[in-house]
Amino acid sequence: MARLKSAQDLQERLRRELANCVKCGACMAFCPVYRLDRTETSNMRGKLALLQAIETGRTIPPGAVRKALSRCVGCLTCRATCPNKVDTGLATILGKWHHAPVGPVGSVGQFVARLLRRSAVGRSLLVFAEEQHSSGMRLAPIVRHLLQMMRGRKCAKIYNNTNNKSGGLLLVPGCRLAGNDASCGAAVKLAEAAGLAGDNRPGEIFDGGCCGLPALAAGDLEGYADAVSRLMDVLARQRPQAILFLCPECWYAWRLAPELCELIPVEQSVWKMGAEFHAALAASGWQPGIRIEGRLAFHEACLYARGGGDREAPRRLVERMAAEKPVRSFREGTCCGARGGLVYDDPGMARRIAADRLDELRAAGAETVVTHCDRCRSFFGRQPEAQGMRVTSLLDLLGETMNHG
Amino acid sequence: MPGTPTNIDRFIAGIDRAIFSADPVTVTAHAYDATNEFHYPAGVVRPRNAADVAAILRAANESRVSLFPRGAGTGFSGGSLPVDGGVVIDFLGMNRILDIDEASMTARVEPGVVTLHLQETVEKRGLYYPPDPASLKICTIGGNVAENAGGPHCLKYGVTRDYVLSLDGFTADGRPFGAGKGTLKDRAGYDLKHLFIGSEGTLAVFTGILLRLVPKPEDRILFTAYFRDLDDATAMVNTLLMRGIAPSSLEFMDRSALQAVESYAKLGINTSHEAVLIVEIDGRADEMPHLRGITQACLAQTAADIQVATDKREQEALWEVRRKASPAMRAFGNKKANEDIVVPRRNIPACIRELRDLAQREGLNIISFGHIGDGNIHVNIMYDGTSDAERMRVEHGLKQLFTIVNRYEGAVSGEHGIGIAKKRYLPANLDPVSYDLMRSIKRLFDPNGILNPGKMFY
Repeated sequence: MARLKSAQDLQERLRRELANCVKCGACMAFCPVYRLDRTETSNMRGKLALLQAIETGRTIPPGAVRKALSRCVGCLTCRATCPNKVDTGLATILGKWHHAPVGPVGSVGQFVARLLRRSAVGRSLLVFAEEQHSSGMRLAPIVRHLLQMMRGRKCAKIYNNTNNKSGGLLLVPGCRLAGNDASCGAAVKLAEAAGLAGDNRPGEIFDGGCCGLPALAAGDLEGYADAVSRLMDVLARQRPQAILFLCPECWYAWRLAPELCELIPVEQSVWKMGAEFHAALAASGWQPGIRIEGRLAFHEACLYARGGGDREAPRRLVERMAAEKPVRSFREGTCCGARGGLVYDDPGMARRIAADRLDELRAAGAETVVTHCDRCRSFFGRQPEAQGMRVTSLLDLLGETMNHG
Repeated sequence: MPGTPTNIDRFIAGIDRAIFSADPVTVTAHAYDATNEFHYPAGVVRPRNAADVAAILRAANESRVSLFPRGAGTGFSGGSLPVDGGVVIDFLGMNRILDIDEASMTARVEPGVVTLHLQETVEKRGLYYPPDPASLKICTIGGNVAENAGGPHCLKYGVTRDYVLSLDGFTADGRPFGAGKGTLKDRAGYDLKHLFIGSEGTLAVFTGILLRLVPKPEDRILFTAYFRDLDDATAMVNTLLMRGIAPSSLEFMDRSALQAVESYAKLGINTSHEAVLIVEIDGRADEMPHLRGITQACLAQTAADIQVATDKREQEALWEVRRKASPAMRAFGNKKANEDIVVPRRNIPACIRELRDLAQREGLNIISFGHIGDGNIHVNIMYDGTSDAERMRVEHGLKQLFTIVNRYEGAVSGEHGIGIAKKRYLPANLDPVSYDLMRSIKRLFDPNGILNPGKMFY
């Protein structure tokens, strides 16, 4: 059972990250929110300064701190551009947890959310509610969307290895792709091509529980540890050869487990199986069956790219699938706008960020935008600025080109 | 004068309440700059236009509330820190490019315009705004004018001062003025414009800035040249200039900086070299082959190793050595005393050697790099900020550093400004009459001492 590290350890970690911020402001340059509103607390320097001020005895109401910390798209550009390597994502999570508790009413909400996330149906409902919040979907698409999510409510699938029944590939599609059989099927074939785990055949589908990212984003570390613990419990029994995450959020939550939780050796060994799929596939020499016509542009997902360095491999894959050289429209920190607290607190700003990015991609000549995050794909796809451009996920494109081979 | 509740109330009564905030989050978010020191203001005003600024200054004078103008808060001298708890004027809301006049090659901007944003905007029209402080992606033109910001390109192109044609703003008591005529030549009385530039917000506040632009260079070539001898590296500056090469950028890193970068980034640098010069030349595309030939021939005279980059990707790779310098230093301490001394070029080698002796004598981690073409050396002393003993040792080292600067006829700051960080070293760096005249100027322009008090002078 994974358990949360001691409060003392976590506080010490927060203090270490805060001490590493020298207020140089390098993080401000590409912050998509600060770029639009020019408010100091919108950028990471301002957020970390607030936490640092509290650490040194300044009194700031927790509600105000939480509001400031939540004005963020969670793109982690600040992490990528920080010369001192401050783990900004981790610092804000710990900051919310330690200095901005939600209060009695919020605690009840957090508890209910935790319960909901334990059940697959509950998770589907939460994702559904979230998508509704940030878009103006009409009723028919809403119903279709809800039904699709309900279909695939079991979010983890184990594919047994035909040569070795003791383990195989564990596919974690995440809440958004759990019902998408085509994407999941393509992912398994691609994982085989990448050499992650061969000769897979469909096996057990089970509810691995929530990855814990929503709890992390809320600063609910106990909720996160609860999610990690449940997932680890299941995985320790399954002992897969490799784990394939299709959602950057699940993947990022997974990567943070040893930072925030005490893991026993068995869990440590399972934890290391979160294989780097795109890098493995790119290195495998995999080639698509067909090439995609038109100008492709890659939009990188924050948590894959800035949260874990998965930047170049996806680009190499896009290049292989493109009939002509993909256009590069790349400013660090350009973001789809759909993550973090901003999408709830200020959906208008989130949409402006998406519109800016889409305009930039269009100006670069992109006809097809490829992203390796389904949240980016979905949010971009709902913006009017995406009209006339195809927005697709890297996984879908890989599946599409593979199936024609 | 501190922002006590009574005078703050009087101040607020004189302005539009909507632009004032004293909530703890906003106050904390304006309490620091890149010095990483915290001084909490009593409140923050965010003017929307010149009328707001005029009202702020009038109200501050009447209520005797001190004002601290602030751009993006990226200064290294504490120039925007509200040291006596007054009110910060946050200019980030006044961020419009008002006009770009291609015929007269000028841009009129508000003070909160981000420097890079202006550069990108004018470059789309084939124009160029050269001043490029390290923080150009976030710092503001208003802050650049107040600090007379420089940057790597100032050897060829000059500093911010060389691009300001006129300033519109308000005196400390809220009277509007226009300094400069927007012409290259202007002999109408004293040159107030140049007095305001670099005055660190202590004399007046600007609301409109007319900037000169130049044609955008068509092409660039970048060289890195490693030297076994420090004197050869510094002598190369004159060699290039005498041959008619005016590098758009001429950066220098000494052995300590090269070792720090190699240890941090593993770029494969030969750390036995004493120094590296990073030389960038720019100009018209048709003149580049000629300039390249001369530059390469000059460098080959004494450099042990030369690399040339013509395309953007190669150039980015070569710049990595310089870019990694700042993060590399973190391995040597969690706190940095970040000085930017400037000495006449002829004194650079002797000055660098004295810095090495100082480091050895006092056991300090001193890492030096900078813009050698204009004699501006960034001297960084890395130390453990949690140790009182270390802090005392660094303080002692800094006193000796500025004694060295004075001995070599230099200035305590080339581009960061004085602020609070260097004001204790300023009297010894100036002659007594100059120092006294400067203080008199401050009293004349700001008799009530409301504009950025506690900066530059005691």
